[in-house]
Amino acid sequence: MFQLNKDEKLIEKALGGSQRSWINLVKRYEGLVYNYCLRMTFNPSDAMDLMQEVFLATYRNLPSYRGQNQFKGWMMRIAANKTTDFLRARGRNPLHRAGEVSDDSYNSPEIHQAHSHHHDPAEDYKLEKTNQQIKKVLDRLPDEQKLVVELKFFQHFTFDEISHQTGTSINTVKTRLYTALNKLKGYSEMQNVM
Amino acid sequence: MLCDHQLVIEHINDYVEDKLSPEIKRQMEVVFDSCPDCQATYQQCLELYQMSHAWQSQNVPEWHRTSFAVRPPVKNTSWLNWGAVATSSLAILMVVFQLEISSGETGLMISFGGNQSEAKIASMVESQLTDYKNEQEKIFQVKLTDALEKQDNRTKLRLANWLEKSRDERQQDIKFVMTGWQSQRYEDQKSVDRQLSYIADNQIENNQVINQLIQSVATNQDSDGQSKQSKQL
Repeated sequence: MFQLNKDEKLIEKALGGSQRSWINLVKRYEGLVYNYCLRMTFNPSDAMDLMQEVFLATYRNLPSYRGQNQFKGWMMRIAANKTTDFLRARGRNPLHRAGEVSDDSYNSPEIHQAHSHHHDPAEDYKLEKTNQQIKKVLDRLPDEQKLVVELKFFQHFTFDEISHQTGTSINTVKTRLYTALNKLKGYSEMQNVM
Repeated sequence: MLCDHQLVIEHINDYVEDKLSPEIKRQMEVVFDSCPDCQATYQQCLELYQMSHAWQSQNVPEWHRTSFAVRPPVKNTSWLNWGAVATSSLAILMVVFQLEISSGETGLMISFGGNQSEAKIASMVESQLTDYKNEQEKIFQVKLTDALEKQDNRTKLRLANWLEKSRDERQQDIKFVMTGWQSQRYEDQKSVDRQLSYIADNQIENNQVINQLIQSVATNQDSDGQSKQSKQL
């Protein structure tokens, strides 16, 4: 409740032109959105682009936010729409090697930047390896199933909220999730993650 | 038993999150015991939950959070631009006024208006000054005439006003004196009338007294005559 009130206050001030309030609001959710984008795109660079698109759309749509829902849910609906558009556009791009998750993304500059405050490279590598395996698991799923898995298992939204965010019925959401679970049965990478 | 997996599709997540009623939970367990597919789905769901918790949250790389959320900064015009504008303006003015800078025996000479000799410039300046002086004299003359006319008109107007005013005052004074005199005359007349009336009244009384005296005298004379006659008798 306190979190909600704080969001509302920050939004109100941001709408009034307060840069600091907007920055505070972004800082509160950027980790969540970035990690979501990372799992959806498997690519730190794309994740940054997508995250910025999400926040840009959030900022532009902020005047239409009525506070009727939790801000996180409202923003994640924008994120879901943006992700769908982004993945669709990327799928049309012939230069993009669809469905490939790099095994060596630890060496990418974005990851280095993200982990720049850590001091243990071995620990960083281990963490990155785990994330890579999770990305590989998710990569086996079509985008729409991946989105449902993301929203349910990683964002912990209810089926009702996921239905609202994806613009599909609750039954469709449940079916997609069930299909995704069946598709991942016996996938060895999952055992590696545990 | 043929399983259509519908119960699992519907409640698998709630079962893993332990949010089901005991009755449905029991039904789910029966399905898991009887259907290997549903059992595998349940295991898969559990693994996915565990996998989601294994995700190591990545820090967000540094980025500009307000690049799109703030007004673009107002560009401060650099001094260089102002310098360029000033220099251009000066150059244009120099061309327009035909500025010439030359050095001769007398030293550096800066002239305006093209190639002019000093005498010519002096005569030009002289003629322009004369023109200016004549023009100023004409303007002064016209202004002086106007001022004098205005002053004259004002004086005449004041005099006429004063005359009119003094005549009115005199007439008012005369009227006042005449009114006073007439009222005084009226008062005097009334006083004279009263005195005449008084005198007339006194005259009547006097006449009556005289008549009484005359009658008394006459009466006395008659009585004296009778007494004398009686004595004579």
